[in-house]
Amino acid sequence: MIDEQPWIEAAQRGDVQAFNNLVELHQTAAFNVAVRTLRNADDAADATQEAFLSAFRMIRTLRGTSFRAWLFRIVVNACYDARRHSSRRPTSSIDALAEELGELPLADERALDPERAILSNETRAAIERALAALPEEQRLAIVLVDVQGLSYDEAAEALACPIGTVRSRLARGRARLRDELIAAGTF
Amino acid sequence: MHPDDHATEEQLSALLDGQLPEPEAGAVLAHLDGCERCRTDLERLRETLAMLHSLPAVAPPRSFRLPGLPEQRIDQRVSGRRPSLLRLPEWLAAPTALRALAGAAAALTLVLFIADAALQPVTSPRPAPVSLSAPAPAANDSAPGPAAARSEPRAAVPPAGVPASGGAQLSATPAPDTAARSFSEPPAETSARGVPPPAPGQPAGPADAAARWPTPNRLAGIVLAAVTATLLVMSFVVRRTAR
Repeated sequence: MIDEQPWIEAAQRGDVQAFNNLVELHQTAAFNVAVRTLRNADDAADATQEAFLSAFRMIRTLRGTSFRAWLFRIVVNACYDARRHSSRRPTSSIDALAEELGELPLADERALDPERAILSNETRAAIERALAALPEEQRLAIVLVDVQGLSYDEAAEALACPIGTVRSRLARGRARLRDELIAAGTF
Repeated sequence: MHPDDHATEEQLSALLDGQLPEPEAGAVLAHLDGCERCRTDLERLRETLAMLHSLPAVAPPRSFRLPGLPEQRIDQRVSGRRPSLLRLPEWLAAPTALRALAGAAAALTLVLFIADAALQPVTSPRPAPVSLSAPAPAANDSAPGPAAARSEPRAAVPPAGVPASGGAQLSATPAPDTAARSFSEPPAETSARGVPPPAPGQPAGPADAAARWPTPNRLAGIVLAAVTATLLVMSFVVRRTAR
């Protein structure tokens, strides 16, 4: 695990290069949260850029909490803003979304976590479809905790809700996802 | 939890994360020992989580690094703010902060005028609102201390160093004396001419001078009203330039 604290402190003193190190470290995760929230790659890219600009502007307010939880909260808010102001429609059909996500090149991060299984394209598309069909609050909880690996505490901070709410959204979303995957014959 | 009750989705989900508190976790585990159906549910849930964990990230279409400009220019770019003549501290630059200050100043103004008006009937028979512009007909010998403090005839003493537009200053603490004088200075002095200035703290000034010159309360009220208006204007200016 990279110690990002020196970069955070330098960025708080206005050091753009230090902040860009943080951008490099978190931009893939931030964009993936955004694309699964907005379901549109162009809007997601714009929202992610906005989020990093806001994060740099506000980084002096960051005190002692998890940087990524704090960042993801900004990303989620940027997504809500983008949705309010965007004229683009979210990719309408769930199949189209899964296809769009399927066509985007994958980030090269396999080396980071050897425990990750390699999913077939079919399985991947089934999961994306099932995720896209979830109510947004359940989907966000699952994306943050199960896909991005945040703790309950971090997810509660990112979603600005109590831990108990994270727990129940996760439980409902996971159960629904499991049932969808069973129905799709993924198991 | 009764041993025969099936585990809830929330219990199974929290159990997988190690987030189920102890007496409950033990009860669920005991139930799972004897319940095939709940074991299958849990196993499927575990596989679902494993798949989610293995879901590959899509690559961002571009880098989101901020451009490497000097700090100040980045700061302006980041906030979308143009360089402005109004360089305010950050906490003050928010329109809400300015509006809150304006509200406080307005409230203070109101309190001052109400207090002033409440004192008037006791100390003076003339109506309060006209006292700024019209010379009072009646003598006011019993006016209390504050009325006299600023009542020296200033026609005899030319104002030195009094700014012409004291009310327009943006600085945080307007000097009530100079600012208010330039506001309320009458165009011509007649009646007060030749009357010797009263000693500081002397209870009553000359009647007509007391009528012509606003009390310190009212001076402060006028200054505060100006501050209120200035802050309101600034809050709009700041909001506009911040866009």
